[in-house]
Amino acid sequence: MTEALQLRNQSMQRFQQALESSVEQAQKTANTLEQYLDIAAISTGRASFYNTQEEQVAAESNAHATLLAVDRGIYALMAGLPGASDRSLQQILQHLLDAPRQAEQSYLLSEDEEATVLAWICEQLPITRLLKLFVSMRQARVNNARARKLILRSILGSHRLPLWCTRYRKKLRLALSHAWGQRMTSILCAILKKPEDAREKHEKRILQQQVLRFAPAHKAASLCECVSFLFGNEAEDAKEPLLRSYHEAKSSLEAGRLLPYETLEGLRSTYHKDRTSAEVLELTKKQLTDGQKIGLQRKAEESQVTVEMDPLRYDATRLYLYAYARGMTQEIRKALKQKAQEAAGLFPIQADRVGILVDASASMAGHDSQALRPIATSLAVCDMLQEAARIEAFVEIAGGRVDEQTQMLLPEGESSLAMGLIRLLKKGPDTLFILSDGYENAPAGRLAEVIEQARKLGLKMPIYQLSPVVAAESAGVRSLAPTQIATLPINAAHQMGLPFFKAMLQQEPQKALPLLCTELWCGLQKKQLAQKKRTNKPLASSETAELNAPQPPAMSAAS
Amino acid sequence: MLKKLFGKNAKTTDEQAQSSKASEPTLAALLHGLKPGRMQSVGVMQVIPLLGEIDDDRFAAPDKARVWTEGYGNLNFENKGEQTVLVPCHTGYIVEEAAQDHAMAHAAVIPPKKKEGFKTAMCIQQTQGGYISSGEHKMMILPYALRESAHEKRQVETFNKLWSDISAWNKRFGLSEMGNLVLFTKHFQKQLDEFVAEFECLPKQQGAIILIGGEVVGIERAPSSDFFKSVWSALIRECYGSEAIAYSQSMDKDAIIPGTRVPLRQEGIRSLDDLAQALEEAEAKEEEIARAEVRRLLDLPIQTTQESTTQGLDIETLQSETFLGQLIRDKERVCYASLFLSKQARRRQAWKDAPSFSI
Repeated sequence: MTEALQLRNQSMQRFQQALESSVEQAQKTANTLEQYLDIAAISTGRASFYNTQEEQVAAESNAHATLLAVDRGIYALMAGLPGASDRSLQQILQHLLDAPRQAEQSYLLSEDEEATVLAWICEQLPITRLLKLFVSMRQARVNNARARKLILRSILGSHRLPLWCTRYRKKLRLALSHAWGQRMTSILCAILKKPEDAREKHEKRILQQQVLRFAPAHKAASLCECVSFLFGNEAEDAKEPLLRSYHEAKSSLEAGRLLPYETLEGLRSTYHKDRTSAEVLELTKKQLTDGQKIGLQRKAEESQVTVEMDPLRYDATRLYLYAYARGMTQEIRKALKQKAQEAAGLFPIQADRVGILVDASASMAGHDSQALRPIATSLAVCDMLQEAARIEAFVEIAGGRVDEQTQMLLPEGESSLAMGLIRLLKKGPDTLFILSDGYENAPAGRLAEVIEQARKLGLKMPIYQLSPVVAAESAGVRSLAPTQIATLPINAAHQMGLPFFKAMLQQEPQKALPLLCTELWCGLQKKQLAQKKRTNKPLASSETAELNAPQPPAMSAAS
Repeated sequence: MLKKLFGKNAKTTDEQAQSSKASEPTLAALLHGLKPGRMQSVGVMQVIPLLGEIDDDRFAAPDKARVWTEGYGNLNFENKGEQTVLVPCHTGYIVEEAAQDHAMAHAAVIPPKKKEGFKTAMCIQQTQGGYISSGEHKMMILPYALRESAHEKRQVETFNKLWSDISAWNKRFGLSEMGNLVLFTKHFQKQLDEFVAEFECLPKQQGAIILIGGEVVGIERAPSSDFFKSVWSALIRECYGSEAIAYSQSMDKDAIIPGTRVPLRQEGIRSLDDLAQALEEAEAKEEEIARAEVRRLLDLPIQTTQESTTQGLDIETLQSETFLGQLIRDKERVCYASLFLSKQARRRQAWKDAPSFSI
């Protein structure tokens, strides 16, 4: 066992002892964590049908700040939660960088361990989110040594920097100049303008300290070209193919076929006004990201350009959203079926006969900024639950109507779930799931009354409400029957682990908390090491041992 | 005076008297072309949606107009669109910028591509200086309890005419006695958000009958479902939501569920079929109680007085034994109506509801 792991175990034991000695403390921590889990799973920071963006952001920020105040170690570990959204990773990174560690206070994670988590988050986040975060840190003047190091390492250490340079030039420039400061940025620009052999010794030293130390030696020339390009020095004879392509595309559109679609489209609108957007799409269709391939289908059809899209590369919610926009096809249906089967294999609850009640009232349409996402998520989860049933599944839809053109269920009408629940109960399920945002008005509380009466009739099967929407006014998910059913957040059919962590916390916080933290820490380390292996980064011998070490016992819903 | 207040088409008091309708319509006539939908019920508040098939898309809600103030008590609208903007009665603007928030004292019509200013508007944020800059601001509608005072003072050109009423309203909730409505909206933000969260605006919904504590307190009608959707949040949140808060605070905790909310019966449920039947019974009973409450009002005679005409649209003020409010009419067609229960009617009702004497 490595020294680091021994220290970790000691720290975890202390944590466990502290929780065991105080039931109140354990409960308080668990409650904070539960609230956080709701937010982490499904908050997007955007408006919902019922709450404005400001309300959602305030609720989200509050949940993060409260957990950070409990223990920054526990908070950092939340990055490793299965199903934690990119947005929550972004928030964790920002909160941890923004709040300095207090020397006199002890935390669950040491400073080095916390740095490991921060670095891991940076590797996980899509570059768009990472850059957005760095720019917002610049605006908030978060400029401590840890933040600067993280920015420089994340940007300059990436093998994707040449691509990013052509795509996110302005944001990269802002992030780097924030990390270096205005003066150092000017100095570096001046040094990089000079040919390599004309640089003075002290200039080479500065370049090494500020830029080159973040990348392997054989990448030095490429890195210098990229940084120079970002700050406006477009060399005609650049060695980096993408940077050369960018330069050449200004005179010949065809030379830009290596560039991302949006970059070449930008160059076309400036330098080739006589050429069409469809030509750009044709030229760059091989460079499209998965997200662009699905998002540009309509445009591709209009432009008569064939953009291949593999439905299996998208999650089920995205496929449902695509079907809402473009109509359901056999191909999408088949992919959805396969996705549901895969997700069902990971689902922690085993049941023979599953009842599913889908709320399709108007509010499940969501806000315009993420239109139809709640119902799309619910339908994806509904498919998965049907596949998870060992014998059979029954589905009841409350409200909504089927659109004749797309053949999709459109959310519509008031929220009346009670009769649907009774119809399901009559079919004799052994587990019941209600997919709903938790807003009921025909009338409010009716579902709870029906559940109460059903319990009196001796129907004791577990009932879970799975909610795809954060309710800002409830600071989490909103329950249809708070004292009678478990209410869990869901963001995707294939990521159901997180909601069941919450269920576990509700039942036995003192046991669940240390187990959860240990699991998350081990999981994070393994993920990080596995990633190093994938990207061919050298592993230390201790790291190899840890990667090959047996997994800690997995948590089950029953535990 | 009226001409000055409402524009060149306004009529004088004498003209108003002459134009009072000879045949007094009833409340039912105002709801012509609409049918009730399924009631929504949360806590003390219930909403009966009014659904209509005929959308009059000549009209847009004020969220399509630019709004600003020019001096205190002077609210201006600019309609850059092709549709005529109808400004609902007591539309207000609580803005983020450091500016005195304002509200209208009456309904208004803004023709396409036109600007209109209203010097009868009211400041609703005492102690805050500054003018609202021109822009598309989020609208609200004055809290229900302030609407009658605003209605009575609709022709008065004094910017601070509502401050004493707002001050009394704030005092009722233990807030500072100031004519600053923001004190209320901030203090009860969470509750107000919850109200708007609970109720859903339905497709084809062009209006609503609102009940609080089992009593009809307001009737709203819009020209189209799009229009109604635009004003829905303002109606549910600030206007009726505020009244639901006030009502809940005035009642015992145990007594806040109104008589129109029928719980499931507890007895005689021995099977799921019994449970389904109990549910159907409760829902049918609930609908019937609410509809009876509305039916009781439908034949109430109402009196309307024409106040101004813009582009062939008449703005009329409505009075009945029970309701006050305004409507906008295009000849026989009612395009917009907003009615609220008068204080006098509520006092009468309170007297009726008081227990009879016994010894």
